[in-house]
Formats: sequence, structure tokens, C-alpha cells
Amino acid sequence: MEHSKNLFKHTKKTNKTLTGWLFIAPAFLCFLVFLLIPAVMAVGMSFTSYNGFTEAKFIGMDNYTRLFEDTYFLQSLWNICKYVLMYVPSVVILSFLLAVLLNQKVPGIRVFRVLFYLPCLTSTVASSMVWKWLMNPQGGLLNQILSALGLPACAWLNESKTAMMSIVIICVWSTLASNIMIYLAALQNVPSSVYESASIDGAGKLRQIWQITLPLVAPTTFFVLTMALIGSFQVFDQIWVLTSGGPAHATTVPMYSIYTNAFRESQLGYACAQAMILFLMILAVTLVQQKFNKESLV
Amino acid sequence: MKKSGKFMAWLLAAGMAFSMAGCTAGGASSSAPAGGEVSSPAGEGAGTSAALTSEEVVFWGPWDGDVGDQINAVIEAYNAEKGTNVTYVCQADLVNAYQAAAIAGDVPDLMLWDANEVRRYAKMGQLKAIDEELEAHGIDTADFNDESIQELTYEDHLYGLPMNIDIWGLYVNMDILNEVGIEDAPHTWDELKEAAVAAMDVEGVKVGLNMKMAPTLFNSFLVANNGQPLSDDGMTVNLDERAQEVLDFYQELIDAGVYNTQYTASNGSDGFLTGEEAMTFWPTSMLRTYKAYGDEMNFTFVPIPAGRAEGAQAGGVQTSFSLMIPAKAQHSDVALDFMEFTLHSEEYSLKWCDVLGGFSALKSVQNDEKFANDPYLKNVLADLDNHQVRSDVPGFVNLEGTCYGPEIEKMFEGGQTPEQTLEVMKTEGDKLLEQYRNA
Repeated sequence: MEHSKNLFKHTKKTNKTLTGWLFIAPAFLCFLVFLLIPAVMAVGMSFTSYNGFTEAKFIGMDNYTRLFEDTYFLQSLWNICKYVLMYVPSVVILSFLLAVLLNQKVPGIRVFRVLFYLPCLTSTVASSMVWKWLMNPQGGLLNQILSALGLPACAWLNESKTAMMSIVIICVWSTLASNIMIYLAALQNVPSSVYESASIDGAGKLRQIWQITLPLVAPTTFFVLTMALIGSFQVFDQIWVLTSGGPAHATTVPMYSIYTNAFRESQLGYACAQAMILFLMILAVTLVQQKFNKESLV
Repeated sequence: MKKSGKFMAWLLAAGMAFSMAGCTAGGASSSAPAGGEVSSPAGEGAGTSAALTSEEVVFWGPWDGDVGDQINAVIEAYNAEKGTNVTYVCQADLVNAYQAAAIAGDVPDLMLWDANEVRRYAKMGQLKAIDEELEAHGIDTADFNDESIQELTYEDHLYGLPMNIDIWGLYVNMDILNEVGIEDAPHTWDELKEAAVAAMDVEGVKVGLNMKMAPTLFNSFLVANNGQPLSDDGMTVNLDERAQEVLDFYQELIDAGVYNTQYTASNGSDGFLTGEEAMTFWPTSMLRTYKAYGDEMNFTFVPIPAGRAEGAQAGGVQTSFSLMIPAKAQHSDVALDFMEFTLHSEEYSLKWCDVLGGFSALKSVQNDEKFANDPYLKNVLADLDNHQVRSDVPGFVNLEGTCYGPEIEKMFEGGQTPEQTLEVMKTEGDKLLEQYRNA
């Protein structure tokens, strides 16, 4: 009888485990087939001279040696560091501040939330083409506004000094919405009683944001920061549509270099090596950021 | 509830597994050759044999619309003559489409492509060598433009036939030049500079010369300055004093204010058609557009003007659109017959020039009245032989886009002097050639 009971319990537990695995099977299969296996294959391919047509030939570390002698790939690494340093703080700070504003209980606030969310719904290519018109140095809306304010016109996408900054502006605009929504959800979980107590103690709005809101949404900030960091290293769409890596390689980033080497030059092995370097960079930055976050919590 | 949950989980997992298998099976079946084994060339007489298959022969090209219609007209005439079933399919991104097709084993039978892609794909074994079969069919490749044939040759084998000759040159708005008292289009660098500077005084002109493409035309300017892009052994770039003269001339034009890097045409339009640009660089294939939309404009087309070096002549780099056969094409005999029929024919060679622009690649009609009487192309005929194709040295075609162009753009922005630019171009150019040699 006891044995039957134990057997029944074991079978019930096994069934539950099996059911769980079956439910995650579709997603796991997708992850395996479209992410994990190709990633492992890419590691192997990075040690070959595979061109997509002929058999892959093992060439050892030649691709990696070539990487560090490739001036333009090294420039792409420098460009992406500049992009990350401009993009990540901007998107985290702006999305937090806008979420705080959108969390106010004022009439019509939902309309503003919808408007701020709209960029998330637009196609990257379509919005990039609109930005290209806005940033036209010769009569684009942005330069007209600058001119009306008595400020000098900007070259925006047409010169290497301003092209990367222009790409950052476009990317921040298009990715703010999703981060705002994440912060908004976090802010709405902050109990209002905390703010009431702070108000009674005489704390102003700014002090409340600095000493109450920010610490309480720290886990969300960590999440947004991590996702922004990972995403920023992989910027591609806007550069492909607007600048093709120019002018003068000013907006050439690793993803662009990987794409052109793989699909224009048919140098898949070399492109995989570049992808590995990008992966290691993202991994290193993420680990450093996580360590820093753990230490600050302690 | 628990039983139905488990059932749903099994159903979902099974559905995913089947759809994954379905994707693979679908890819495999779509890549299976429709006609069975790859047909082998019929050998002697294949080009003239009436026994060509009536199965579908797939022909890929990058255009649809008017150009696609014109290509279809040529194909229909061929099909009517030969009883074949050549079918044109537009592939807007031919490079990616071919790569996917080659991996899937479902390549077309014939492709219309830039000739400068041929050597790269021939090196990877993706294209069929046709020289022996052409010889067997009595087709003499010496009937075609020598430079164009050279561009399609890799390791002494021919991998395609040229459909036209396309060169980059200078489009000149003569209304603007006439307004400042200049009656002829520029033929030398000094005339070019004079015309560009004078044109800036005309109302509505924003740039005397649109130099946006000038960085990637460096080799054309070098050839027009009697320079040689590579060393004799092809191992290094040959950026000597003639190359320095090209960069110095570019800098002179920038300093004279005929172009600035912030220039873009209004409202995304073509600045040459709207009169904002007095002169601009484009290939002969652009004539089609300018004739269609600039019919009220008095413009002309001339080759890249002659440089200042001794022996310099107007000229530059030439290329062509070409037909080529993938190595694993199923109906290569029909594809080759189509190439021979339409490209080794004076009538069809001229028709292809209507479709693609430029000059005929067949020597016998290169000076045809069609070109000699054309108000735009006649200016180039005398200098056509001063054009040369890009070298077949690995990496050479990448020099302009990867190295020369960006460095010259930096110079245009004032980021480096012409001398510094030349030094960087030498260093990085040699490095690039070495990378491609070893790749």
C-alpha cells in the first residue's frame, strides 16, 4: 500500500515535470534551432575560410589575426564604443524622466502615453527615411528650427563629426517608448504612502525622485540598462538605411561590418570571427555591469 | 483540467516539431531539380541545334517595370524563334537571392549581373566556364570589346558575355554653362574647374560640380591622368605623383567652393534635373532617366576630363552588364544558346543597349550610327578606347568602397590634407590587397 502511494506520488511528480517540459518545448526548440545551434556553428566557422558556397577550410586563428590588423574593423569597434557611451545614458535617463512625467495623475495623461508609445509601433526603415528628410542640411525641419532660433545649421548625417550623434538621436527616439513602459510599470508599484510620508517630512518633488523613486526602481534601472547595453552593441537598421557606414566610416559599426563581410563579400568565416569579438565585448560589458550592480547593492 | 493541459502541451510540442520538419522538407523539395539531373552541354552544334528543351529556363535579372518589360520582349522574340520557354524573374537583391539559391541548390539557369562580380563568383566555382563551348559553336570572343571580355575572364577561362559597355562620365547642364559664356563641355581638368566655378554665379545653382561620387571615382580620375592604379606585379597599389595630382585637384575644387559636403538636393529630388547642380558624375546607364525627365533641359554627356599629367586623355574605368550561367544550372545549353543568339547578334546587341544604356559590346556595331548620331553618346565614342576595366587582382574592386572613398571623404571634410590622404590610401590599400590575397 505504502509502495503504491509512493509510486503514485512519483508518477504524479514525473507527469508534472513532463507537462512543464512539453509546454516549454516549442520555445526551447526555437531557441535551439535558431539561436544556440547557429551560435555554436558560428564559433566553428570563425576558424575557417567558409564563403557560403565551397567547403569550409580550417585556417586556425588567421581570421582573428586579420581582425586585429583590419584598420576599418578596429574603427568600427571604436565607433560602437562612442555610440554606446552616447546612447545608453541618454535612453536610460530620458526614459526614466519621461516615465515619471507620464506617471502623473493629470487629465489626458493617457493620450500622452499613447503618443509616446507610437514610435515603438513604426517601422524602423520608414521612420529612418522620415528622419533623413528632417535632418536634410539644406532645408530640413531641424535646421529650419535651428535657424529660427538663431543657431548655426548642423550637417547631421552628412558629415563624419555629426553623423554618429544623429544616429544616436534617431535610435534613442525609436527605443524610448518600450523603456518608458517598463519604468512606468515599476513606478506604479511604488506605494504612494511613501511619497505622502516624504511630503509630510518636507521633501520636495526633486528630492523625492532622487531619494525615494530612484532607489525603489533600481532593479528596473538595472534591467533597462542591461537591455540597452546589449541592444546598443547590435545597432544596424538605421545605419544601413541612412549612412551605409559613412561618411568616411564614421558610422561603420561591427554589425554593419559583419553583414557586409558575410553577405556582400562572401567571407562568412571572417564575419563569424567579427561576430565572436562583438559577442565577447557584450559579455564583458554585461558582466562588469552586473558586478558593479551587485557591489552597489551590498 | 490537468489531463487537457497535458494534452494541449503534447499537441503544441507536436505542432512545433512538425512545422520545423515541414520547413526543412519544404526547402528540400523546392530545391529538387524539376527536370532531374543537370543537363550536360550537348557539345558541338549545341548553340545551333533546334533540339532545345521546352522546359522552363529561369533567367534572373535585377529589374522590373519598363526595363523588365524590355527584357521580356527580347526573351519572347528568342522563345518564338527557338521554341523554348525562357522565363524572366526579377530579383531585386540579386546577390542575396543567389547566395540563398546556391545554398538551397536551386539556382537559375541564366543571370544578368554586373561584370565586376563575375571573377569573385568564378573563383568560388559558382559560374560555368563557356570559352570552350563558344569556340565549338564558332563564336569568336575577339568580336567583343577586349576590355569587357577581360573583365569576364578568370584564370584564362571566360565566364560570361558582355551585354553593353557602361562608363562613368560627366553630365553637363549646358543651359547653365551657356549662361556664363561657356559654350563647350569641359574636356580637361582646368576646363572642368573653370566651368564649375563660373556656374556658381548662376541663380539657383547650389553646386558647380556634384562631387559626391568623386571619392569612388578616384581610379577613373587616375586613369584619365595617365596613371596606373596597381603596380606591375599587382601586389601593391601604385599611388605615385599622378595619384597625388588627382587628390590635389579634388582639394582645389573643394577650396574653390564648387561643392560642399553638406549639400543635398531639395526634397530628395535629383539636383541635376532641378538645376541645382551644373555638372554631376554618373554612368551612361543614367541617360535613360535624364532623357525621360530632363527632356526640356539642354544637357550633354562627356567622359571624365583629361588630367594634367603628360599624355593624359579623357577616359576612366569601364564595366558592363553581362550574362552568365551558374555552374549548377539545369539548362545550361539553352542559357548558352540564348547568350549566343542575343549577344553575338548585331540586331540584338543594339536592342540590349536600348534596355541597359551605354554602348554595344560587339566591336562590329560599336561605332554604329545609333551611337554616332546620339547627341549624348557621340561625345564619348572617340575616347571609348581610353577606358579600362578594373583589375582582376583580388581586393581591387574593394579598394574604392572600403579604402579610397572614405579617406577622400575625410579629406573633403577637412580632416586631412591631400598628402596625408595619399599616405593612408597607400598603407591601407596595400593592407587590403594583402588581406584579399590571403583570404
